Amino acid sequence: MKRARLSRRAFLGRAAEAAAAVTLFSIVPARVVAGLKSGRTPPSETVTRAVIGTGGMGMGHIEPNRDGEVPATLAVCDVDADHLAQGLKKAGKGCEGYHDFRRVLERKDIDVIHVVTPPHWHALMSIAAMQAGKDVLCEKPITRFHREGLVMIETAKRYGRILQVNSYGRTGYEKLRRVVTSGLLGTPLTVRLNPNTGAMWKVAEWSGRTDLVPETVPKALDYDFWLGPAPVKPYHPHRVHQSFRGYWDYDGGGLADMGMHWMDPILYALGKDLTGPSLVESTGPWPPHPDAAGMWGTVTFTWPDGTRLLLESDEWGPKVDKKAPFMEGPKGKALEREGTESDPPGLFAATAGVPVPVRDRSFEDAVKTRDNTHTSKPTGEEAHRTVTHIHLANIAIRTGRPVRWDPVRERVIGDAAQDAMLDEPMRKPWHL
Amino acid sequence: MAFVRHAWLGLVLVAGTAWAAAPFGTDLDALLGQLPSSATVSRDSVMPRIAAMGPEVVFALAARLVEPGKGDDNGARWALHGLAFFVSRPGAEAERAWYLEAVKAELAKTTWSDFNRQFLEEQLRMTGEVAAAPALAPVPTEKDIKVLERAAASATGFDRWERTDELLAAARVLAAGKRAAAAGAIYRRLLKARADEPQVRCAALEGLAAVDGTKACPDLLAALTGDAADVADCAGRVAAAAPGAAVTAWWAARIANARGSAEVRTAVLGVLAARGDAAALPAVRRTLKDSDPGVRTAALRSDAALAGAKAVPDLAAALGGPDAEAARSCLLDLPDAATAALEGTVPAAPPKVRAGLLGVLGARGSASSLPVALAYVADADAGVRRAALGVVGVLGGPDHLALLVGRLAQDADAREAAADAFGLIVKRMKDPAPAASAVLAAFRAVRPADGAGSTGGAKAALLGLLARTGGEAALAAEREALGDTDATAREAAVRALGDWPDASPLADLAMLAKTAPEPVFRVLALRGYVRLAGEAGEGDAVLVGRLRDAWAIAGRPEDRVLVLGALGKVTHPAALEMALKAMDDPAVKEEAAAAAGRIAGELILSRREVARAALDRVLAVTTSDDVKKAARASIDSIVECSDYVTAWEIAGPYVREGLDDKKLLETPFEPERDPARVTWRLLPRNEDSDPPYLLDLKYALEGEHRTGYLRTRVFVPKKTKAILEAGSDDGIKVWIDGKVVHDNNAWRGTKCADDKVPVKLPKGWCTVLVKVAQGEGDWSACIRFRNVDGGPIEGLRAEAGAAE
Repeated sequence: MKRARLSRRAFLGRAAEAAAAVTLFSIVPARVVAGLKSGRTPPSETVTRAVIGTGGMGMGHIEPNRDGEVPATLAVCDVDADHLAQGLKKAGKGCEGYHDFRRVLERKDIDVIHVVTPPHWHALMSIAAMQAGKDVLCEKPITRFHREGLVMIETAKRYGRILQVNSYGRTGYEKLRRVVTSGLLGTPLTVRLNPNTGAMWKVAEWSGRTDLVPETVPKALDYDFWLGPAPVKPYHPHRVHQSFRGYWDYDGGGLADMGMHWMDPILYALGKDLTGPSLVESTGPWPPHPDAAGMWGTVTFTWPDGTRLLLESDEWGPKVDKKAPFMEGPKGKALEREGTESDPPGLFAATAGVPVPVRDRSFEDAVKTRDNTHTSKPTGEEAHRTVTHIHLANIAIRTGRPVRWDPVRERVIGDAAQDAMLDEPMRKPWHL
Repeated sequence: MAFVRHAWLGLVLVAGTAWAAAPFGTDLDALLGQLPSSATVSRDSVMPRIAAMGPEVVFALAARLVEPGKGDDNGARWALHGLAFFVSRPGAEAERAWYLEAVKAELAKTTWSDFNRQFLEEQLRMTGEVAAAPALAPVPTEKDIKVLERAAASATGFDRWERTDELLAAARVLAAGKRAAAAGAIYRRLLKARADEPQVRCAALEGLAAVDGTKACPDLLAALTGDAADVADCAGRVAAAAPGAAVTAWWAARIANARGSAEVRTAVLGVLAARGDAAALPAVRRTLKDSDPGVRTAALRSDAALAGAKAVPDLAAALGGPDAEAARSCLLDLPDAATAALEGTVPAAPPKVRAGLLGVLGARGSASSLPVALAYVADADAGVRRAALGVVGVLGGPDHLALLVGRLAQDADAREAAADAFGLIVKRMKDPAPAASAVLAAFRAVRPADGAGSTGGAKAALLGLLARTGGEAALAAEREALGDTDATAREAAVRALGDWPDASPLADLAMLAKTAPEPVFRVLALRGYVRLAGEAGEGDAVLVGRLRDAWAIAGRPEDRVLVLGALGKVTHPAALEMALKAMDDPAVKEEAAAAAGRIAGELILSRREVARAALDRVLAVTTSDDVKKAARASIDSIVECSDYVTAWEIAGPYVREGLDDKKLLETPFEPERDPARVTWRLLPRNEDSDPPYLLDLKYALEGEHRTGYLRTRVFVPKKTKAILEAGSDDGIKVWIDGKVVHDNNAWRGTKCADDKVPVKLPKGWCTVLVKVAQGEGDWSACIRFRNVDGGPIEGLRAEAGAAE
């Protein structure tokens, strides 16, 4: 279904009404001043893009070029020749195929790079693209380990690039944020993300295997390039294409795969999307396998104000309490995420006037206007903060002990081993 | 004990591989067999017992490591990995020390394969043992800089940006090494030489601002109002972040005495706001009276950003003038701490400002504002009273219903505000019966003196409130009021029935529409009947029946137009038939044609032939260009879809906890198992579908991680070998007469004819069932049958439903 798009003028009007945080560009977007009144050349109407990674997810993100229209998908890239061929077929006329992403970045006619590779490539490709002057839409999870996010944010800021992450996004969660902001639920709040509240964690599905027997690399796949910064391990088809999610070297299991989808809008609704928890606790089997991501039961994030976010896989340990509400405080409950049912009823209607930052700007609009505020998708910094929760949760799960976190310095408190896991080595010649 | 262990470790290191055959035997095997530990007890006990074996266990475990595919060494890997985490816990420094020494001793061996060496190195890392950080990069010399600049300038392709990044890093080292001038020179050279690369200009501006202070400001202002949008964006951010009082003063001077254009002043105010330096406040406040409204708005926002709660007087004052909207927006944005200041400003404010402030307090939603608002519900100014009642609606509860009912009965000027506030509170109540009781009590107590002029006004207002609560007692009161001696009350009762929150007064309204002596009441009742019928949720067929009844009652053309308006929203063949018949009525033929055109447009997928005939008739009857244009567009879509099967019924969505789209496609749901028990409905048309024959399941069913079914019956005049052409987003499964003919559990976007599958169509009708899985994003499919030569199949047609 096509979404109706807001005009720039309409958006500015709404943003002005709803902006909760006063920033430079919600006050006076300089480019708007200059663009509308000083004869500045408006940005191109067609945002041209390249998709790097044309496997299952990448194929879903290729916009086919249509006959009679200016082509927008100018390049697709994959180190698997079979994937590349299917990507080219879907993109149609006007699109070229590449094996090496660096050659894609050299094309001056491409505005946007959509990084749809496994996560161990996300940071390196995004950083290189931004250095090359491209804007970046990166798939989730934005990073595989914490320091990658810091460098990505710094790069986006330094080079003035738009960086967003293609998770489910925040549009539609304004109602929830209004209820939270109003205080009608009371504090502290407890939020539950489990299959009963609509969050499936796919823990078993995206667990790695511990019985891999090496196989011959298919001719179509450049396995060494696929591994890139990851350590060399013998090829097995379960390591690549979709099931890569189950291996620490490339991703972080179901938690990393689904975490940004489920948690990012909730952190926005809680108004905690540019900070972090002070304590992360987990339950699950232990110790973890060194190579394969595995099972976990619960993860609990606690903030200094007492807010708790509870992730429950429902795949290990006690079953989820189906009567437990999605969000509750001492005075009331939000019974689901869409913002319709509450206890007592009517809380969402009663808080309809509470001002919150509305999140409905598309990535393409942000690229055209250079306004990276009020975006439907999380910005690079917001995504980094969200994914940090996931990295910390996986550190708690792997080390088998709670993580005490300093969200300002973004360092682990009192546990050098956990702190060291915020950064990981990369296989040469790749480096941050 | 530590000494003994270390002494012993020395022997181990000398002994080399002698520990390969470690002496733990079955004890260690038993412990490894418990890994990973699920039960809390074993989780907390297994690793301590392994660790208690001391460093020798590392050698024993390392000896069990094998090459990939050469055996199961998971126990040893789990244990070594778990030990790395276990010994690195805070307070276990001694254990960590022997673990590190033991692993390093293992790594000293030359016999390890790359795979296992890498594994052991990783365990060191998991203890927090990281290689010493490289020494800080030395401050580059002039010669180094020249080399780097030359490399960045001469490199091509991808290398150019890597070299540029290195140059920028070197400039940052220079800046950190107190060689700001040299760093600044690099940034200025980059700004000049790389003017066509916005990202490089951004980086250079950032660096320049860090080293050049106010000297960088002119460059930033030029970029801020220059011709490159992305560089302007960077310049704004950098200007906001550049430290120093002198920098603030430089920007503040740009707005002194209305210097520069309004656009520049606006931009500079934005910079000052984002800098957050209150030293700029005097300059900002001087622009609150600027002649340009855009500048004044920017000034209000900057004032709010810099002064916070202390900006309340300025912002409140502006609520009474032409910048009220901007001021209100700023007041809403102020932090929670400003609420007390806002509340404190209310008493002394003039009426217009007071009303505005109360509106802001209501929208901010702080519970502390309720008593403030309650103090003004009987204010002398009607605007203030209305605003105060608005706050009570947002923040009040059942305890305030009686107050609101009282205000409603007494205050004609604030009656609507009181009713709205009452409605808001009722919406938050699980059971609105007490609210209805409060209204009924007030209703019975209404005396002439209570009304604003007459009892009818107060009664009417209370009857209107009952429509917000609903319920049997309230309905009974409305029915009773239909016989009231006061015409105002009777009319209010009719209106209230039409606004009822459920369909229970439908019969009353039908009767009133037919028999009420007052023509106005008949019209109101008919309107109410049509509205409630549309919202009753009784299904399209029942709704068409009710609209037919309404049509029979509707005496005036305007009333028939009202019915046609509702009819046009019903996607049902019976609705189309009724609209087509109505086209014979000369008084409403245009409206009937518009309704018929709309309904036919919705039915072009599911009832192609019927819709086409109807659209032709619409074109013949209407004189409206808009209706003609829409009808022709629908006919064009029919032509474009002619090759595709577009008549479908739909069922779903089907979701199962814990299953994603891939598994959902493989999981049979009721339409596969027992289609007769399924509630099928016509697949609705999404007007935005491109191409029009796209079957948009997302439009019909919405959501993600689910699956849905489409069903149709296909007729061919003779047994036919055909090619099924299908595209889907995501996976698809197709049955013909219950037999699976196609199964592609793909993750993809819809591209028509992505799949081409040979199938056999039996003579006559057959049932085609299609299942489409939804992962994320779009959810759609397209289906057609072609003959084996790729051409259309003669005589093939499809109708939504199942074959007999």
